[in-house]
Amino acid sequence: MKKILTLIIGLLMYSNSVLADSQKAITFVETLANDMIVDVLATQKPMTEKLDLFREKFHQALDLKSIGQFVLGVYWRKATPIERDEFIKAFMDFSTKSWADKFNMYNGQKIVFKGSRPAQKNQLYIDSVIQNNPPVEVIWRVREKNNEYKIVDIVVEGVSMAMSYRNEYTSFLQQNKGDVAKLTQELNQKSQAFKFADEK
Amino acid sequence: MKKHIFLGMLSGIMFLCCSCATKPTQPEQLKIYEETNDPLEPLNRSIFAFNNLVDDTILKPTASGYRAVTTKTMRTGVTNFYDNLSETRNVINGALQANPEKTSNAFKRFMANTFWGFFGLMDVASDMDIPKYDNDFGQTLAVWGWETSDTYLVLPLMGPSNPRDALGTAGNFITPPSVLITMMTPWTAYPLTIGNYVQMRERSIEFLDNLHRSSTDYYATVRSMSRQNRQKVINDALGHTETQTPKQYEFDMDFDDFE
Repeated sequence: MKKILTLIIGLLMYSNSVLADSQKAITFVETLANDMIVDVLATQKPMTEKLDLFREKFHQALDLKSIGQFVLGVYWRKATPIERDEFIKAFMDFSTKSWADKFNMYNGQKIVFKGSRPAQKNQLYIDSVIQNNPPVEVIWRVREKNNEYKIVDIVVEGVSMAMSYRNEYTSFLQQNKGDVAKLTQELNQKSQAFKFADEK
Repeated sequence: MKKHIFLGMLSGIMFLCCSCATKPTQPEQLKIYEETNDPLEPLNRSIFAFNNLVDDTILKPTASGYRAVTTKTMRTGVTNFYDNLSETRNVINGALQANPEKTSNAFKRFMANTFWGFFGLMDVASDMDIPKYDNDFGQTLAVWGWETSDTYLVLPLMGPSNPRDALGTAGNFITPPSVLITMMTPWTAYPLTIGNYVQMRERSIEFLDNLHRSSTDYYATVRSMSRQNRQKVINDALGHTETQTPKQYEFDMDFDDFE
Protein backbone atom coordinates (compact mmCIF):
# COMPACT_ATOMS: atom_id res chain seq x y z
CA MET A 1 0.00 0.00 0.00
CA LYS A 2 2.78 2.32 0.98
CA LYS A 3 4.58 1.51 -2.28
CA ILE A 4 1.48 2.31 -4.34
CA LEU A 5 1.01 5.58 -2.47
CA THR A 6 4.65 6.55 -3.10
CA LEU A 7 4.21 5.68 -6.77
CA ILE A 8 1.06 7.80 -7.09
CA ILE A 9 2.69 10.77 -5.31
CA GLY A 10 5.78 10.34 -7.49
CA LEU A 11 3.67 10.25 -10.68
CA LEU A 12 1.68 13.31 -9.58
CA MET A 13 4.86 15.23 -8.84
CA TYR A 14 6.33 14.15 -12.19
CA SER A 15 3.24 15.21 -14.17
CA ASN A 16 3.15 18.51 -12.26
CA SER A 17 6.78 19.22 -13.08
CA VAL A 18 6.18 18.30 -16.76
CA LEU A 19 3.19 20.67 -16.83
CA ALA A 20 5.22 23.42 -15.18
CA ASP A 21 8.05 22.87 -17.68
CA SER A 22 5.77 22.98 -20.69
CA GLN A 23 4.13 26.17 -19.36
CA LYS A 24 7.60 27.68 -18.93
CA ALA A 25 8.45 26.78 -22.52
CA ILE A 26 5.20 28.29 -23.83
CA THR A 27 5.83 31.49 -21.86
CA PHE A 28 9.36 31.63 -23.27
CA VAL A 29 8.16 31.47 -26.91
CA GLU A 30 5.17 33.75 -26.25
CA THR A 31 7.41 36.40 -24.66
CA LEU A 32 9.87 36.15 -27.52
CA ALA A 33 7.15 36.58 -30.18
CA ASN A 34 5.69 39.52 -28.28
CA ASP A 35 9.11 41.18 -27.78
CA MET A 36 9.94 40.79 -31.46
CA ILE A 37 6.69 42.49 -32.48
CA VAL A 38 6.62 45.25 -29.87
CA ASP A 39 10.34 46.01 -29.40
CA VAL A 40 11.60 45.38 -32.93
CA LEU A 41 8.91 45.56 -35.58
CA ALA A 42 6.72 48.29 -34.12
CA THR A 43 9.50 50.71 -33.12
CA GLN A 44 10.23 53.77 -35.21
CA LYS A 45 14.01 53.22 -35.12
CA PRO A 46 16.19 53.20 -38.27
CA MET A 47 16.39 49.85 -40.06
CA THR A 48 20.04 49.20 -39.10
CA GLU A 49 19.17 49.59 -35.40
CA LYS A 50 16.15 47.34 -35.82
CA LEU A 51 18.37 44.70 -37.40
CA ASP A 52 20.80 44.87 -34.45
CA LEU A 53 17.91 44.46 -32.02
CA PHE A 54 16.55 41.56 -34.04
CA ARG A 55 19.96 39.90 -34.12
CA GLU A 56 20.36 40.19 -30.33
CA LYS A 57 16.97 38.58 -29.61
CA PHE A 58 17.30 35.99 -32.38
CA HIS A 59 20.70 34.81 -31.10
CA GLN A 60 19.44 34.68 -27.51
CA ALA A 61 16.36 32.63 -28.38
CA LEU A 62 17.63 30.22 -31.05
CA ASP A 63 20.27 27.57 -30.56
CA LEU A 64 21.90 28.46 -33.88
CA LYS A 65 25.07 26.48 -33.17
CA SER A 66 23.10 23.26 -32.74
CA ILE A 67 20.87 24.04 -35.73
CA GLY A 68 24.00 24.72 -37.81
CA GLN A 69 25.34 21.31 -36.82
CA PHE A 70 22.05 19.61 -37.75
CA VAL A 71 21.74 21.30 -41.16
CA LEU A 72 25.12 20.00 -42.33
CA GLY A 73 23.79 16.43 -41.95
CA VAL A 74 26.36 13.74 -42.74
CA TYR A 75 28.89 16.41 -43.72
CA TRP A 76 29.21 17.70 -40.12
CA ARG A 77 31.26 14.67 -39.09
CA LYS A 78 33.50 15.01 -42.13
CA ALA A 79 34.26 18.72 -41.66
CA THR A 80 37.43 19.83 -39.85
CA PRO A 81 37.06 21.88 -36.60
CA ILE A 82 38.07 25.06 -38.46
CA GLU A 83 35.55 24.38 -41.26
CA ARG A 84 32.85 23.78 -38.63
CA ASP A 85 33.59 27.05 -36.81
CA GLU A 86 33.66 29.07 -40.02
CA PHE A 87 30.43 27.47 -41.21
CA ILE A 88 28.63 28.12 -37.91
CA LYS A 89 29.67 31.80 -38.01
CA ALA A 90 28.46 32.16 -41.61
CA PHE A 91 25.22 30.27 -40.89
CA MET A 92 24.42 32.41 -37.85
CA ASP A 93 24.87 35.63 -39.79
CA PHE A 94 23.03 34.36 -42.84
CA SER A 95 20.01 32.88 -41.03
CA THR A 96 19.64 36.05 -38.92
CA LYS A 97 19.46 38.25 -42.02
CA SER A 98 17.24 35.83 -43.90
CA TRP A 99 14.73 35.69 -41.01
CA ALA A 100 14.88 39.46 -40.50
CA ASP A 101 13.96 39.77 -44.18
CA LYS A 102 11.03 37.35 -43.73
CA PHE A 103 9.97 39.02 -40.48
CA ASN A 104 9.73 42.35 -42.31
CA MET A 105 6.79 40.91 -44.28
CA TYR A 106 4.81 40.23 -41.11
CA ASN A 107 1.70 42.40 -41.09
CA GLY A 108 0.96 42.47 -37.38
CA GLN A 109 -1.60 39.64 -37.25
CA LYS A 110 -2.27 38.20 -33.80
CA ILE A 111 -0.44 35.02 -32.72
CA VAL A 112 -2.39 32.65 -30.48
CA PHE A 113 -0.54 29.95 -28.50
CA LYS A 114 -2.50 26.71 -28.20
CA GLY A 115 -0.34 24.44 -26.04
CA SER A 116 2.57 22.04 -26.13
CA ARG A 117 3.38 18.43 -27.00
CA PRO A 118 6.42 16.34 -26.14
CA ALA A 119 9.01 15.81 -28.87
CA GLN A 120 12.10 13.68 -28.30
CA LYS A 121 14.12 13.81 -25.05
CA ASN A 122 14.33 17.34 -23.54
CA GLN A 123 12.37 18.78 -26.47
CA LEU A 124 8.82 20.11 -26.87
CA TYR A 125 6.61 21.34 -29.71
CA ILE A 126 4.74 24.57 -28.97
CA ASP A 127 1.67 24.96 -31.20
CA SER A 128 0.57 28.42 -32.31
CA VAL A 129 -1.60 30.00 -34.98
CA ILE A 130 -1.25 33.34 -36.77
CA GLN A 131 -4.81 34.60 -37.11
CA ASN A 132 -5.24 35.08 -40.81
CA ASN A 133 -7.81 33.79 -43.29
CA PRO A 134 -6.95 30.98 -43.74
CA PRO A 135 -4.97 30.75 -40.45
CA VAL A 136 -1.20 30.08 -40.55
CA GLU A 137 0.05 27.24 -38.33
CA VAL A 138 3.41 27.85 -36.62
CA ILE A 139 5.08 25.16 -34.49
CA TRP A 140 8.11 26.00 -32.34
CA ARG A 141 10.43 23.16 -31.41
CA VAL A 142 12.22 24.01 -28.17
CA ARG A 143 14.98 22.22 -26.35
CA GLU A 144 15.72 22.42 -22.66
CA LYS A 145 19.37 22.52 -21.68
CA ASN A 146 20.79 23.56 -18.29
CA ASN A 147 17.31 24.68 -17.23
CA GLU A 148 17.10 27.08 -20.14
CA TYR A 149 14.98 26.91 -23.28
CA LYS A 150 16.22 27.52 -26.81
CA ILE A 151 14.41 27.17 -30.12
CA VAL A 152 15.87 24.49 -32.41
CA ASP A 153 13.28 24.60 -35.20
CA ILE A 154 10.38 26.72 -36.46
CA VAL A 155 7.75 24.95 -38.60
CA VAL A 156 5.51 27.26 -40.68
CA GLU A 157 2.58 25.55 -42.44
CA GLY A 158 4.34 22.20 -42.22
CA VAL A 159 7.68 23.53 -43.51
CA SER A 160 10.52 23.00 -41.06
CA MET A 161 13.27 25.62 -41.16
CA ALA A 162 15.93 23.13 -40.01
CA MET A 163 14.94 20.41 -42.49
CA SER A 164 14.70 22.87 -45.40
CA TYR A 165 18.21 24.18 -44.72
CA ARG A 166 19.51 20.63 -44.29
CA ASN A 167 18.00 19.44 -47.60
CA GLU A 168 19.34 22.51 -49.40
CA TYR A 169 22.88 22.36 -47.98
CA THR A 170 23.34 18.61 -48.40
CA SER A 171 22.23 19.00 -52.02
CA PHE A 172 24.73 21.85 -52.51
CA LEU A 173 27.50 19.80 -50.87
CA GLN A 174 26.63 16.71 -52.89
CA GLN A 175 27.20 18.69 -56.05
CA ASN A 176 30.38 20.29 -54.73
CA LYS A 177 32.23 17.17 -53.54
CA GLY A 178 31.36 17.83 -49.89
CA ASP A 179 33.36 21.09 -49.82
CA VAL A 180 32.06 22.77 -46.61
CA ALA A 181 34.41 25.76 -47.08
CA LYS A 182 32.72 26.46 -50.42
CA LEU A 183 29.28 26.39 -48.79
CA THR A 184 30.56 28.80 -46.11
CA GLN A 185 31.86 31.14 -48.81
CA GLU A 186 28.51 30.96 -50.62
CA LEU A 187 26.61 31.77 -47.41
CA ASN A 188 28.87 34.77 -46.72
CA GLN A 189 28.17 36.08 -50.21
CA LYS A 190 24.42 35.55 -49.75
CA SER A 191 24.53 37.42 -46.41
CA GLN A 192 26.16 40.44 -48.04
CA ALA A 193 23.45 40.54 -50.70
CA PHE A 194 20.71 41.31 -48.14
CA LYS A 195 19.87 44.98 -48.21
CA PHE A 196 17.99 46.54 -45.33
CA ALA A 197 16.87 49.97 -46.45
CA ASP A 198 16.12 52.53 -43.76
CA GLU A 199 12.72 53.19 -45.22
CA LYS A 200 10.54 50.30 -46.13
CA MET B 1 3.20 4.44 -88.90
CA LYS B 2 3.73 1.70 -86.29
CA LYS B 3 7.50 2.04 -86.76
CA HIS B 4 7.31 5.78 -85.99
CA ILE B 5 5.33 5.16 -82.82
CA PHE B 6 7.82 2.49 -81.74
CA LEU B 7 10.80 4.80 -82.40
CA GLY B 8 9.06 7.62 -80.54
CA MET B 9 8.42 5.39 -77.52
CA LEU B 10 11.98 4.07 -77.59
CA SER B 11 13.49 7.56 -77.67
CA GLY B 12 11.14 8.61 -74.85
CA ILE B 13 12.27 5.68 -72.70
CA MET B 14 15.93 6.40 -73.50
CA PHE B 15 15.43 10.07 -72.56
CA LEU B 16 13.88 9.09 -69.22
CA CYS B 17 16.65 6.57 -68.52
CA CYS B 18 19.35 9.14 -69.32
CA SER B 19 17.55 11.56 -67.00
CA CYS B 20 17.62 9.21 -64.02
CA ALA B 21 20.02 10.05 -61.21
CA THR B 22 22.59 7.30 -60.63
CA LYS B 23 21.99 5.50 -57.35
CA PRO B 24 25.11 5.93 -55.19
CA THR B 25 26.74 2.94 -53.50
CA GLN B 26 28.54 4.75 -50.67
CA PRO B 27 26.30 4.43 -47.52
CA GLU B 28 26.18 8.13 -46.57
CA GLN B 29 25.47 9.27 -50.13
CA LEU B 30 22.86 6.52 -50.43
CA LYS B 31 21.18 7.85 -47.26
CA ILE B 32 20.94 11.35 -48.81
CA TYR B 33 19.70 9.84 -52.10
CA GLU B 34 16.93 7.95 -50.30
CA GLU B 35 15.98 10.94 -48.12
CA THR B 36 15.71 13.11 -51.23
CA ASN B 37 13.66 10.54 -53.21
CA ASP B 38 14.23 12.30 -56.52
CA PRO B 39 15.29 9.57 -58.97
CA LEU B 40 14.46 11.82 -61.96
CA GLU B 41 16.56 14.71 -60.61
CA PRO B 42 18.42 15.55 -63.86
CA LEU B 43 15.14 15.70 -65.82
CA ASN B 44 13.37 17.55 -62.99
CA ARG B 45 16.18 20.11 -62.84
CA SER B 46 15.85 20.74 -66.59
CA ILE B 47 12.08 21.28 -66.34
CA PHE B 48 12.63 23.49 -63.26
CA ALA B 49 15.11 25.62 -65.26
CA PHE B 50 12.58 25.89 -68.11
CA ASN B 51 9.82 26.92 -65.68
CA ASN B 52 12.12 29.57 -64.17
CA LEU B 53 12.93 30.90 -67.62
CA VAL B 54 9.22 31.29 -68.38
CA ASP B 55 8.76 32.92 -64.98
CA ASP B 56 11.66 35.37 -65.43
CA THR B 57 10.75 36.39 -68.96
CA ILE B 58 6.95 36.34 -68.98
CA LEU B 59 5.11 35.59 -65.75
CA LYS B 60 6.96 37.70 -63.17
CA PRO B 61 7.22 40.82 -65.41
CA THR B 62 3.48 40.52 -66.19
CA ALA B 63 2.70 40.12 -62.47
CA SER B 64 4.84 43.18 -61.64
CA GLY B 65 3.08 45.15 -64.39
CA TYR B 66 -0.30 44.08 -63.03
CA ARG B 67 0.78 45.30 -59.58
CA ALA B 68 1.94 48.64 -61.03
CA VAL B 69 -1.38 49.45 -62.68
CA THR B 70 -3.74 48.27 -59.93
CA THR B 71 -4.48 49.24 -56.34
CA LYS B 72 -4.41 46.81 -53.41
CA THR B 73 -8.22 46.92 -53.18
CA MET B 74 -8.58 46.07 -56.87
CA ARG B 75 -6.17 43.15 -56.54
CA THR B 76 -7.99 41.84 -53.46
CA GLY B 77 -11.20 41.88 -55.52
CA VAL B 78 -9.54 39.90 -58.33
CA THR B 79 -8.11 37.34 -55.88
CA ASN B 80 -11.52 37.00 -54.20
CA PHE B 81 -13.10 36.41 -57.61
CA TYR B 82 -10.74 33.52 -58.44
CA ASP B 83 -10.93 32.11 -54.91
CA ASN B 84 -14.70 32.08 -55.27
CA LEU B 85 -14.51 30.21 -58.58
CA SER B 86 -12.30 27.61 -56.90
CA GLU B 87 -15.02 27.00 -54.28
CA THR B 88 -16.76 24.86 -56.96
CA ARG B 89 -13.70 22.58 -56.89
CA ASN B 90 -13.78 22.61 -53.09
CA VAL B 91 -17.46 21.55 -53.13
CA ILE B 92 -16.82 18.65 -55.53
CA ASN B 93 -13.73 17.38 -53.73
CA GLY B 94 -15.37 17.78 -50.33
CA ALA B 95 -18.21 15.56 -51.62
CA LEU B 96 -15.80 13.04 -53.19
CA GLN B 97 -14.03 12.83 -49.83
CA ALA B 98 -17.40 12.27 -48.12
CA ASN B 99 -16.72 15.26 -45.91
CA PRO B 100 -20.07 17.03 -45.31
CA GLU B 101 -18.53 19.86 -43.27
CA LYS B 102 -16.07 20.91 -45.99
CA THR B 103 -18.66 20.43 -48.75
CA SER B 104 -21.35 22.51 -47.08
CA ASN B 105 -18.96 25.27 -46.05
CA ALA B 106 -17.54 25.56 -49.57
CA PHE B 107 -21.09 25.62 -50.98
CA LYS B 108 -22.17 28.29 -48.48
CA ARG B 109 -19.09 30.37 -49.29
CA PHE B 110 -19.76 30.12 -53.03
CA MET B 111 -23.42 31.10 -52.69
CA ALA B 112 -22.73 33.96 -50.25
CA ASN B 113 -19.87 35.44 -52.25
CA THR B 114 -21.57 35.02 -55.65
CA PHE B 115 -24.90 36.57 -54.67
CA TRP B 116 -23.95 39.05 -51.93
CA GLY B 117 -20.35 39.63 -52.92
CA PHE B 118 -20.86 40.86 -56.51
CA PHE B 119 -19.93 37.59 -58.29
CA GLY B 120 -17.19 36.86 -55.79
CA LEU B 121 -15.38 40.20 -55.87
CA MET B 122 -16.07 40.62 -52.15
CA ASP B 123 -15.39 37.90 -49.59
CA VAL B 124 -18.53 38.33 -47.49
CA ALA B 125 -18.36 34.65 -46.49
CA SER B 126 -15.25 35.29 -44.37
CA ASP B 127 -17.01 38.21 -42.68
CA MET B 128 -19.77 35.70 -41.88
CA ASP B 129 -17.07 33.42 -40.33
CA ILE B 130 -17.62 30.58 -42.79
CA PRO B 131 -14.32 28.64 -42.72
CA LYS B 132 -12.26 28.41 -45.90
CA TYR B 133 -10.52 25.21 -47.04
CA ASP B 134 -8.55 24.57 -50.18
CA ASN B 135 -9.48 21.20 -51.56
CA ASP B 136 -8.14 19.53 -54.68
CA PHE B 137 -8.20 16.23 -56.47
CA GLY B 138 -4.75 15.23 -55.15
CA GLN B 139 -6.16 15.43 -51.61
CA THR B 140 -9.16 13.36 -52.72
CA LEU B 141 -6.85 10.63 -54.05
CA ALA B 142 -5.05 10.66 -50.68
CA VAL B 143 -8.37 10.27 -48.83
CA TRP B 144 -9.25 7.41 -51.19
CA GLY B 145 -6.15 5.55 -50.04
CA TRP B 146 -3.16 6.85 -51.99
CA GLU B 147 -1.70 8.41 -48.85
CA THR B 148 2.01 8.27 -49.66
CA SER B 149 3.45 9.54 -52.90
CA ASP B 150 6.92 10.92 -52.27
CA THR B 151 8.73 10.58 -55.59
CA TYR B 152 9.45 14.14 -56.65
CA LEU B 153 8.26 15.40 -60.03
CA VAL B 154 8.47 18.84 -61.61
CA LEU B 155 5.67 19.41 -64.11
CA PRO B 156 6.19 21.80 -67.03
CA LEU B 157 4.61 25.18 -66.14
CA MET B 158 2.82 23.63 -63.14
CA GLY B 159 5.84 23.17 -60.87
CA PRO B 160 6.53 20.77 -57.96
CA SER B 161 4.46 17.60 -57.77
CA ASN B 162 4.51 13.82 -57.27
CA PRO B 163 2.73 10.96 -59.11
CA ARG B 164 -0.48 11.23 -57.04
CA ASP B 165 -0.72 15.01 -57.29
CA ALA B 166 0.17 14.96 -61.01
CA LEU B 167 -2.87 12.74 -61.54
CA GLY B 168 -4.77 15.10 -59.23
CA THR B 169 -3.77 18.05 -61.43
CA ALA B 170 -5.24 16.21 -64.42
CA GLY B 171 -8.38 15.61 -62.35
CA ASN B 172 -8.57 19.32 -61.54
CA PHE B 173 -8.57 20.12 -65.27
CA ILE B 174 -11.63 17.98 -65.95
CA THR B 175 -13.67 19.26 -62.99
CA PRO B 176 -15.03 22.77 -62.28
CA PRO B 177 -14.00 25.52 -62.41
CA SER B 178 -11.37 24.58 -65.06
CA VAL B 179 -13.77 22.54 -67.17
CA LEU B 180 -16.37 25.33 -67.09
CA ILE B 181 -13.77 27.86 -68.23
CA THR B 182 -12.66 25.65 -71.15
CA MET B 183 -16.30 25.45 -72.26
CA MET B 184 -16.38 29.24 -72.69
CA THR B 185 -15.35 31.06 -75.87
CA PRO B 186 -11.56 31.41 -76.28
CA TRP B 187 -11.89 35.17 -75.80
CA THR B 188 -13.19 34.56 -72.29
CA ALA B 189 -11.38 31.34 -71.41
CA TYR B 190 -7.80 32.47 -72.18
CA PRO B 191 -7.84 35.83 -70.33
CA LEU B 192 -9.59 34.16 -67.39
CA THR B 193 -6.96 31.39 -67.16
CA ILE B 194 -3.95 33.67 -67.72
CA GLY B 195 -5.40 36.19 -65.24
CA ASN B 196 -5.43 33.51 -62.55
CA TYR B 197 -1.74 32.69 -63.05
CA VAL B 198 -0.84 36.40 -63.00
CA GLN B 199 -2.75 37.20 -59.80
CA MET B 200 -1.30 34.12 -58.06
CA ARG B 201 2.23 35.10 -59.09
CA GLU B 202 1.71 38.70 -57.94
CA ARG B 203 0.87 37.47 -54.45
CA SER B 204 4.14 35.55 -54.17
CA ILE B 205 6.59 38.14 -55.58
CA GLU B 206 8.26 38.96 -52.23
CA PHE B 207 8.22 35.42 -50.92
CA LEU B 208 9.84 33.89 -54.01
CA ASP B 209 12.33 36.78 -54.34
CA ASN B 210 13.41 36.19 -50.74
CA LEU B 211 13.69 32.44 -51.33
CA HIS B 212 15.67 32.82 -54.55
CA ARG B 213 18.01 35.41 -53.01
CA SER B 214 18.78 33.29 -49.98
CA SER B 215 19.12 29.84 -51.54
CA THR B 216 22.43 28.16 -52.29
CA ASP B 217 20.52 25.61 -54.38
CA TYR B 218 17.13 27.04 -55.36
CA TYR B 219 15.95 23.74 -56.86
CA ALA B 220 16.67 21.81 -53.63
CA THR B 221 15.01 24.52 -51.50
CA VAL B 222 11.82 24.48 -53.55
CA ARG B 223 11.81 20.67 -53.57
CA SER B 224 12.13 20.47 -49.79
CA MET B 225 9.66 23.23 -48.92
CA SER B 226 6.95 22.30 -51.43
CA ARG B 227 7.11 18.65 -50.38
CA GLN B 228 6.84 19.44 -46.65
CA ASN B 229 3.99 21.90 -47.17
CA ARG B 230 2.12 19.47 -49.40
CA GLN B 231 2.49 16.74 -46.78
CA LYS B 232 0.83 19.05 -44.25
CA VAL B 233 -2.06 19.72 -46.65
CA ILE B 234 -2.46 15.95 -47.16
CA ASN B 235 -2.30 15.29 -43.39
CA ASP B 236 -5.03 17.89 -42.87
CA ALA B 237 -7.18 16.29 -45.60
CA LEU B 238 -6.71 12.89 -43.98
CA GLY B 239 -7.83 14.41 -40.69
CA HIS B 240 -4.65 13.39 -38.93
CA THR B 241 -4.69 14.99 -35.50
CA GLU B 242 -1.67 16.28 -33.63
CA THR B 243 -1.28 13.01 -31.74
CA GLN B 244 -1.16 10.90 -34.90
CA THR B 245 2.49 10.70 -35.72
CA PRO B 246 4.94 10.94 -37.28
CA LYS B 247 4.46 14.22 -39.11
CA GLN B 248 6.92 15.45 -41.70
CA TYR B 249 8.52 17.81 -39.13
CA GLU B 250 8.85 15.14 -36.41
CA PHE B 251 12.33 13.93 -37.23
CA ASP B 252 15.14 13.21 -34.77
CA MET B 253 17.32 16.15 -33.83
CA ASP B 254 20.36 14.94 -31.93
CA PHE B 255 23.17 17.34 -31.14
CA ASP B 256 26.76 17.20 -30.00
CA ASP B 257 26.77 19.80 -27.26
CA PHE B 258 28.86 22.92 -27.66
CA GLU B 259 30.35 24.16 -24.43
